[in-house]
Amino acid sequence: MPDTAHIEGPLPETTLGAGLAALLGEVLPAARGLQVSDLKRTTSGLSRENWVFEARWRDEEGARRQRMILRRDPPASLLVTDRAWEFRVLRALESTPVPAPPVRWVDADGARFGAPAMLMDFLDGECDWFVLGGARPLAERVALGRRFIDLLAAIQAVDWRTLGLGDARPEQAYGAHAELDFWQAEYERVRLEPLPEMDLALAWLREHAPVAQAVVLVHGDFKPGNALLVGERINAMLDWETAHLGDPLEDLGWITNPPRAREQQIAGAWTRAEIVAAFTAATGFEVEPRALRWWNVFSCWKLSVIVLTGVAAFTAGTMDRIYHAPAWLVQQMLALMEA
Amino acid sequence: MRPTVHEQLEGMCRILETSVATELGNAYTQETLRGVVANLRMLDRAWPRLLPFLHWDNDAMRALLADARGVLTGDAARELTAALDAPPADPFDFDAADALNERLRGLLGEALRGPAALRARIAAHLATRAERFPLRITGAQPKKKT
Repeated sequence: MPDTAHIEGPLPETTLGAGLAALLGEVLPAARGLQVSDLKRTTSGLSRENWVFEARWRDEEGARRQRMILRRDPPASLLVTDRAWEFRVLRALESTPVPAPPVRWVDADGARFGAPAMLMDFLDGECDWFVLGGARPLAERVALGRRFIDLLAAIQAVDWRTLGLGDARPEQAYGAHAELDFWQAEYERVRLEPLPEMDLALAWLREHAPVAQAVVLVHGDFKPGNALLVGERINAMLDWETAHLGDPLEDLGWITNPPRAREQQIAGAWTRAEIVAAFTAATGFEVEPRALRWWNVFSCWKLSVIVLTGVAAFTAGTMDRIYHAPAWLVQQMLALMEA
Repeated sequence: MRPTVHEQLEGMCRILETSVATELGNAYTQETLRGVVANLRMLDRAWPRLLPFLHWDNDAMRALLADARGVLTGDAARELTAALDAPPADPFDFDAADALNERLRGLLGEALRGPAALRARIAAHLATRAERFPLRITGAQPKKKT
């Protein structure tokens, strides 16, 4: 997050609505008679305030109507991320086959709405965390699982160099240690009490960190719950706030992480082995089992840090959702380290 | 002891669900209240197990740390000696057990620098601890969003 960002508490809907109308006047300079209606905060989004609304205006093409979404940083979030970077990624993806929401505006320092915010078009569809284990026919769910891996391959095929998503770091600087550096800093920022299990796992991760075979665009939270589905089609992949450049196995480690099996796998039909085989076929990357296990352990550790962020925010009185020590993740993380 | 702690916690859930939830107009506050009620129900299940859990964890950590006496140095060694030699607190004093737990877990983290055999025993204890940890909520994640 930029150093200059400031974050205020929730805005009244009337203030936000007037602010949005003014903003749209700037974002859509040819628009006349702009109106904002049906503004409401959605329940989704654990790390951002999501405000959905409908904008109506007239321009040279006639009467226009577009549902949009304003994502605003709350006073406390599970993820401390940079809206300017997320905007850059989404804007870059518009020229690729990766389906993602079109973005219209970003305010990374929070000058406009009292907190960093981003405006994007609202897309149709439904996110279902447990669609792979849901009521759809088995063949349809397996096919959907394959489409998720094809989408992951498309993300990894994004030419991030040409799109200007790199920075001054050499490519060797991306990957396991860079991710550990980032999440270790977060861990030290949010830890409220001694957590020897987290320290034990961190030492193990440092000792066994794999070397990346390539540098690719990593989504960072690749799961069915972040995919907008229209029927059997993935209309868009959402929540790019933790996207970064890194190891091709990172997202695969997140997908195959045992604690998330209920979301990502179908028992007996779309298993870890089948996911890995599909990934290898779609990307051409080698999947070394020890490296993938490392990314599984890292996924548990990273998710634990995210949960601990929630614990810290709740105890500080800045978050309305109650979090507890991530014992369910620690159990599986320590078991994976033993394997 | 009527209403019992269980009756009070369950009663609070009932009031929130029947009198408060019905008056809430927007989806965000309704979901927030569902989270509060789920947590109250989790506390209802967990609270009788908290003090026994802390005593079990503290005893296990004392045994591990006794073997780490030669491993720690400086301030950590002095803190370890003080913690292990401290007179036992009132076993019914929850806050004392909780404070001791935090103190011993800090020392256990320091002891991870010890030999591999000790680290393995500490890891085994931490795995068992995670399995027994009483404060865990289930089913609070949203299943869908649009």
